[in-house]
Amino acid sequence: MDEELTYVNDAGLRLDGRKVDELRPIKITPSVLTRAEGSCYLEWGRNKILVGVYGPREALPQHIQDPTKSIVNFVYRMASFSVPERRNPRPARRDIEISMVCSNALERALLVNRFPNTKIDIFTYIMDSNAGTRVAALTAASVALADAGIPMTDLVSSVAIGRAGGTLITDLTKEEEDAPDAVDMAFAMLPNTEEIVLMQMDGEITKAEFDELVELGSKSCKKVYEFQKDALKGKFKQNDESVN
Amino acid sequence: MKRIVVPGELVTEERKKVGENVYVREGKIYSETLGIAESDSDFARVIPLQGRYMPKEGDTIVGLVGDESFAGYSIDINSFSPAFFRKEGVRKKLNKGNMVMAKITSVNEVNQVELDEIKPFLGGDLINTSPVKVPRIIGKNGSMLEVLTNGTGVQVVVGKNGRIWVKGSEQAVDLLREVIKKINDEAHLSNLTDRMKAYLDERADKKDLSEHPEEIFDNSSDEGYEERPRFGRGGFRGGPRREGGFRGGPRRDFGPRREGGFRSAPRRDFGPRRDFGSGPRREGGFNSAPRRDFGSGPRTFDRGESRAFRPRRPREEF
Repeated sequence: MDEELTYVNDAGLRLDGRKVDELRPIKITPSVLTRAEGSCYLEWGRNKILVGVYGPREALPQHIQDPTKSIVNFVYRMASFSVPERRNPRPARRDIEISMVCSNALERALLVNRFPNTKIDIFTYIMDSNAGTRVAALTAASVALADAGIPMTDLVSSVAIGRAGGTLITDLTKEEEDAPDAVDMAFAMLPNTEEIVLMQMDGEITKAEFDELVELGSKSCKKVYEFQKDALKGKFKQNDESVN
Repeated sequence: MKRIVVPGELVTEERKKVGENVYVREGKIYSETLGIAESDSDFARVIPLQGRYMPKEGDTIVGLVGDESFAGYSIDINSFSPAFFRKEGVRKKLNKGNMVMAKITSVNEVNQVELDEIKPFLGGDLINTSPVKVPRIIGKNGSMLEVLTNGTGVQVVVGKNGRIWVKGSEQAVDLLREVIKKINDEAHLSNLTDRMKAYLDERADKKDLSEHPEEIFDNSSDEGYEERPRFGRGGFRGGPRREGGFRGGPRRDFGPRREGGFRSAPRRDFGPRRDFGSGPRREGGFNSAPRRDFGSGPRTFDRGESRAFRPRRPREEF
């Protein structure tokens, strides 16, 4: 790029007018699919994600069954139209890796040992993307799991944090992720115990910056947690009004 | 106080007995599912709003008969895996797709279920509902169930696994289906029974007024059905053991056993065994001339003709 972008201006505002610790608008709608046991549609900035949860159900073929726990099968897929240039819909190395790290993150929250020999399927489909899809998918998946009534110790809240133009910021957009000095960290935790269940980072960073980033991440996750909680409870409050 | 909680949300900070769907961390009680928190009594618990059926010993369930195998039936009980019901010592003949009522006698560590008291229903229909809403459909001391049966005139059997067997006129069953859906949607609200009663009173015209036969189970297969013999007694298909073995007629008499083996002519005499000779072994091996002497000294090869030993041409320099 010929022209250098100012990622955070003098007023402390970013390219899209957000403050450094401000999230993009989040909209969560649980129970959107009738055939799935739990589901969720999430809009996070320009990310649009649909999640369906099935199970716990018998894990087949039988040799994949684990008699000590339920298998968490998280499937992350991007629609071919979710990126500016058409993407081959065949799952790539990236999709497989994200599926794995997200299922590991959710397994920390789910009470998997209560459902031996079973499998919990979580299908997340990225309909539109603009940076931070894996954290958005994880956030939506956690809501869908709660919507399915699968017992878990906590919800999983997730957010992307990083650095652009020398400033630490939360919830990066694609533009900020492409900054020359960009650091991008996917971050997920259980908001009640503050246990970190996912952390992946690109870029170079100092120890002091890293510590600050984790602090920022856990603060942002709690904001995301409020959105998740409201979404799950909102469904029932609405019913309340219609009856009384 | 009724309060909706999400997984991981605090139910109470007080020390209380741990009820359903809650767990303790650092002395506080948290919810592990989406539901309604109740902590007014000695117990802290969460009534779930969603969820699957978890088989419990002693539950009465409504199942669907699946595949039949030699040893028994596989019965879908709306749980993680189908239950296997052994035929041994059971007179009933079940058909694929039959609706049955059964009792769970045991559940093992991997949630496999053993059934007993299996009874096939006589006709009827099935309504599926969420297993966590079953207590609301039954109500306190069966109050809601009474409202439902009286209000619609339909025969109802509620399985703990979220399956409801119903029998009545089409109109009345449809009405019941509607009401059960209503209960599902409004399970977290109070005065449910009264509201359902009012709703059914409004639609009393759809009630099934015909008198139902008392018997709801199909007992036809009980009668005239031979008791199945157990393994090891009486043979493969039951009945007295046939003589002469499986699938054979009575053994025929073939007369005295012939000599010289079955279906063969008596052994002929070929005379004494020929002698192929013996004596000392020939030297130099079988069928060969005695070993020649090639002399000693180094072996010689004509090196010039061998391709393998031809010296390489020096490479041309560039």
